[in-house]
Amino acid sequence: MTPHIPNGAEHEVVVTGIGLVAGELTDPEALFDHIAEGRTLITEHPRHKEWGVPCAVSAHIDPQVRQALTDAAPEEAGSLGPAGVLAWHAAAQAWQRSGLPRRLDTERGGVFLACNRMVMEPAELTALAAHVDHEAGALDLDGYLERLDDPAAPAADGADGAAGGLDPRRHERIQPDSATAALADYFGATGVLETRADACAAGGMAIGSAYRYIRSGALDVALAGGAESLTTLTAVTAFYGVGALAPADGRDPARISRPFDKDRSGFVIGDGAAFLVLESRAHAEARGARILATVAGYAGVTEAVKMTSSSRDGSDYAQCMRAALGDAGLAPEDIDHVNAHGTSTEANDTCEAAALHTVFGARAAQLPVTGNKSAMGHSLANSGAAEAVLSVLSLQRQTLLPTLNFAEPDEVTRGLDIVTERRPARVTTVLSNSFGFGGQNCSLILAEAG
Amino acid sequence: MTTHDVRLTAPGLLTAAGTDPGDLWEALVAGKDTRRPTEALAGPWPEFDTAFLVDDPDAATLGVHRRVLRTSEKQARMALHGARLALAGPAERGPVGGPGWGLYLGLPTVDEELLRFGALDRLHKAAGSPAEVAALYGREVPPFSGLSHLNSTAAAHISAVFGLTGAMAAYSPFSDAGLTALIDGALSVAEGENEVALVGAVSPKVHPLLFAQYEELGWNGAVPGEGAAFLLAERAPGGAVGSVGPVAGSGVPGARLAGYGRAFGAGPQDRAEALVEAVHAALETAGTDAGGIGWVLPDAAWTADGARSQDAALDRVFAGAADRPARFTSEPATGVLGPAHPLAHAVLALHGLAAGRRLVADGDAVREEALPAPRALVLACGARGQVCAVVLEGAEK
Repeated sequence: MTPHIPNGAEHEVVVTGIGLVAGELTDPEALFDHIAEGRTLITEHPRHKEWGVPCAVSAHIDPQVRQALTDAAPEEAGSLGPAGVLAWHAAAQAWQRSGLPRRLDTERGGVFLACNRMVMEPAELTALAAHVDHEAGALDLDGYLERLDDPAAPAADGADGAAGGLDPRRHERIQPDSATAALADYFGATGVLETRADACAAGGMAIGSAYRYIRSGALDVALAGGAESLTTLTAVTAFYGVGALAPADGRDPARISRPFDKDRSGFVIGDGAAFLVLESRAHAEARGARILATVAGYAGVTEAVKMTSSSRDGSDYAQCMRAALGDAGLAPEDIDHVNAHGTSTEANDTCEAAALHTVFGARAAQLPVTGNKSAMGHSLANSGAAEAVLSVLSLQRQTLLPTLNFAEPDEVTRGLDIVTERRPARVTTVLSNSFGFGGQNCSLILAEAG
Repeated sequence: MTTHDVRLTAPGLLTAAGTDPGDLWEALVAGKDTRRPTEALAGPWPEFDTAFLVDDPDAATLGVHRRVLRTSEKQARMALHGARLALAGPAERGPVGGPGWGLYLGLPTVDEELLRFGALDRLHKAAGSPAEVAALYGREVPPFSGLSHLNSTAAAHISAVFGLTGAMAAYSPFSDAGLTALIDGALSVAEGENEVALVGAVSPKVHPLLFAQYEELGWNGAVPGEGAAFLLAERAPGGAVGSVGPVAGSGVPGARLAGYGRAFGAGPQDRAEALVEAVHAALETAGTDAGGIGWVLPDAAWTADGARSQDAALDRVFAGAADRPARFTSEPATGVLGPAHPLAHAVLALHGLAAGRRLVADGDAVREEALPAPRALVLACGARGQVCAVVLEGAEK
């Protein structure tokens, strides 16, 4: 229950827990160290390679890790799909680290999850195809549902090797709000439940939405993050079809994603989940919680250009960054690190670089910029949440992460300080960007705990 | 942080009954049959072969280049049509769009096979060979599906067409998403994040796999429908918080979101309690009680559990009221609209509040009568147990 009428009060919002899973790594520090050492999670996808998929590289979750996470989820978590399992691990880890009680005894908690739903994979479609009258172009739903319910029906070889093309709970498992509800129920954070669908900016926007609810006083605690599990044949084929993925072309998988580099050619898809526990400072301090960082500002805006690209001059992205600065009451000179969206597509990095030049002017040359996606892939709705977690660690460790594979800028990306090696630095305030297909733009500002 | 009074204006509604809230109102009163035959359904189940469909909007209707159709699914096109209906009036009175105009959407997931039915036969034959399946996918996955199957595509097209560049959010996939969009959109204006928020929600398109999804989630046989519902949450010029009245320049009396509540009930047993909690919160923030509600529009409950929970909750909330307000659903003329259903009800309620009228079911018939109190209660029951309640208040307090 969250009856709340804005009264102008503003509460400081702090981060008290972080959790993450990516590749074979199952905690934030492991990923931070991995990237700091210049290592990537992007590898060849064995099955996609075997099948001849054009972009057979991804930052997918290691199958053994996925199985272990699935086995570790408690029975109360209910029926979770591939993304839900990842969400559960990251969220439970963040919650446990925050030191909050197992369940809240207040209705002033919420869950904000960013997640796209999965589409039907070949095995599921094959099961469906058996019930299509191909001459009439019609589906015998009755027969299809009977087969789903038949325990004796042979399990098809599912997407990417997962058995279970005939999963009678498929729809329940893959809907993006299944994990939202499960997390809210388990942790007692039931005041506000939001499942965000803002494309690649959704993770940042979920955090931003939670921040706004706490800042206005409607909530005390929020579990906010993202989860994605789309390194599947269907998703890879669909994104390849629109030219968004970098072609593998026999290149070393570790070198394909190249944010801001002149030879960038598209993104590499990834899986993962990341969560933050946000609280009002008063709530966190009252229980003696360790404060990791503060959320100082946020902007989540739409734009009006077109589906596949934003303004080439970066004006839309610049507007978003400036709105976040305005929300935080900060000036550009107050930012000392940028965690970029940096997808490694020609269009995104051009727009983002232009925007950074616009917002920071001459200072852009001395402002360290990191793009994490060449190390962990682009996990779409999750990416903004994962990058927020890494930004919190940069603040804590006073260390900037490298942008793997950046070697040489082009005309637009020139003049930025792209970090290429682990760099100790005084980091007080980080701007973390996420920009979605079609113009859902998000900038978060994270700052030292204070 | 300053706060602003907010008005709800510019209702736009696309349903099987037509393209205007008045169309729906009249269709309900007339008992008009708005169902149409559905294609691509065969076999003995489901037991009906019609649903509440809308025409797939073409480029001319949407006022866009035909290439937009290639990067959108029907759901996005219905949303764009609904947004155009809502913004038609404001666009005649002044410029629409800009950095003060935000967008809040409740969106269903795009639930369908990515390969067309025609290709499924070939998939069935290739199933034993992963390499052949992958090659088939490479050939048959529709161009642009990587964009059109993102359920945020609707937001992108609406923003591009109308020039919206303010704060935004998109939620999915069930009916609570529609009212969450309304609540958050109104709050974004109240808190000064936007001057105006376009708030909308769209139904899933009626597709054979929608029935399979509903069945798995406990479907009670309610017939699905297609449609979109939109309205504007806009800053009331010069109005103090809590004031009521017409919005200058908007051309329609401004109703307001007087109160809201949200709650969660994981299991069927908890859901009624959650609904009661949400309604009480909405009444409390609206500064009224059960006796102050003139019209109740429950969600289209498409599961037996949902229907029972909603009935039980409303019985409890209004147990002490001297005159229990009429409960009414648009379902006979719209079908179940998913995320768009509560927002379609909100738009219908705004239409009634503006005229001081309500609709009441009388057996199979629907009659129109005076609203006994200028407030409507609209509910959303998400399939996972997320429930929302809003109190809408008309100009005549």
